[in-house]
Amino acid sequence: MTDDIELEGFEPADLDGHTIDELSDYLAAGRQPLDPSIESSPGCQIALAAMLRLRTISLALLESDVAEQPATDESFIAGILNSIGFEAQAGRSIPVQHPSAQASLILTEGAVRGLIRAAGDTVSGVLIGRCTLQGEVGVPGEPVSVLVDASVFWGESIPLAAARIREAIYAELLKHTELNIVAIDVTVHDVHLSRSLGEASVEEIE
Amino acid sequence: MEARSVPSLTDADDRTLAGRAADGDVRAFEVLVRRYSPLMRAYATRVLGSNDETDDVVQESFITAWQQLSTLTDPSVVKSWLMRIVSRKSIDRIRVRKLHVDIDDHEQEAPHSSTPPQVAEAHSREAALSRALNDMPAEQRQCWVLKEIAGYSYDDIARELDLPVSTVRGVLARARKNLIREMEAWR
Amino acid sequence: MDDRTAVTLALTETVRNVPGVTEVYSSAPVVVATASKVTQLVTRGVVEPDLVAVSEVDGELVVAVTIGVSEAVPATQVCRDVYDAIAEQLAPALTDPLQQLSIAVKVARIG
Repeated sequence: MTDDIELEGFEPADLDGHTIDELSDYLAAGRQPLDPSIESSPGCQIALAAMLRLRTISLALLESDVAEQPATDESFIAGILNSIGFEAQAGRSIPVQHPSAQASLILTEGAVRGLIRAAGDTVSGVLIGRCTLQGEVGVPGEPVSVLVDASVFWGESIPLAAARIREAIYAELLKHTELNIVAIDVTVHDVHLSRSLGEASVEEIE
Repeated sequence: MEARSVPSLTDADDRTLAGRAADGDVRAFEVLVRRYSPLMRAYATRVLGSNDETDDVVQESFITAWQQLSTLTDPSVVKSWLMRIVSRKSIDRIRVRKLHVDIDDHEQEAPHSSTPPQVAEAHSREAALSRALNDMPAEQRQCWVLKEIAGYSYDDIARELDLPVSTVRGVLARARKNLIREMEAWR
Repeated sequence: MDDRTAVTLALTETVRNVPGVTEVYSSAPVVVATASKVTQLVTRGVVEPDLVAVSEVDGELVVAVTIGVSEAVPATQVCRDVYDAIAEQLAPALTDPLQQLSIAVKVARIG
């Protein structure tokens, strides 16, 4: 490997003593702190402009690569989805009480998170995101808090939606688990622009 | 007819989808797969220099992503996180290739029989860059793609490619000069 | 071995019939595909694994099952019902009253 590619117009002699690498770092640093010896050098300015063009084209290249990708093959997607199991997300074990010492009954944390997600999703205009159970879920009776990330679509009242989410989640947890739920915190992280929001909302809280 | 009060997952933002997938929602994960497959394939093809192994690399990347999603603390950055994974998987492939081909030089890494990416964009400036990248030694191309397209730092590249930082700097300096020369000539 | 298979099949049937049970999952670990095999793995489930796992560990009979339950019935109740159904079915088969027994029921999905 040789390091002596000569590039006419881009050698230190053309750049008032600077090198392409220095200029590259300077550009990467957002031209800060401002270096007058670079900014006032016509040679450097030409080189910086060339590098900026190159950067722009590099990003444009990836964009055009993406645009030219063939439509994603269904068997490609199936190949991925058939290779994943839900063990990875099963999480902790949440005990279910039983008088017999022979019994070892549990709900997986993943199952409970799925329950929470489905419950929150029943609220009109809401999509539940990440959900976390805080507390010793493995010990019966220990206080547990639920943290839910939710996106509420445009046009819905956020405080009202948050209240409904809490209500729906609490009802389901009460029905299906023995967890001692002390709090349900809903973070509304994003308000989307609704494209086609189905108007019919089904109340599943009973 | 099913009354849908739930907005479609397809319209959901990355944070929501990655958060659900981390919690075990396969449908949300599928939306992410559909959303980012084209980008990841395009990118892997650039790093690998051909599309022979692209599908395998991207599939492996998604499977790894599924297994590790619960460790992603900020689901809103799932896109760049996926790009990291596909970078790493692509680099792994290159390492394996190097062992098999047993060459000390980089020139023949991309077999000439393989499809050069994006033939269709002939006559554009992207085509000129595409050609220039394909003609470059593989090591220069990889470093360039990681630096300029994926936004890696010198240190990141050195770590990923298992090279001293000084070597990475040298390789990138040559790549930069090569590309500037090609692109300025094209202008 | 055939005994074990027969017990497994009978128990799986029993579990499936408990109200609220929607699915009995394989007790074998899900295949984590290796790189080269990914593309071939378009279909899964060629081998039918044991659904209810029955094993003997240090003289103790261990029965384990992973299920999915419907939203309609409380998951905790379904879980206990599955335990009761298994225990009831095994009782006459346990000739040795001192036989140690453990029954593990795991709910991996609700709704």
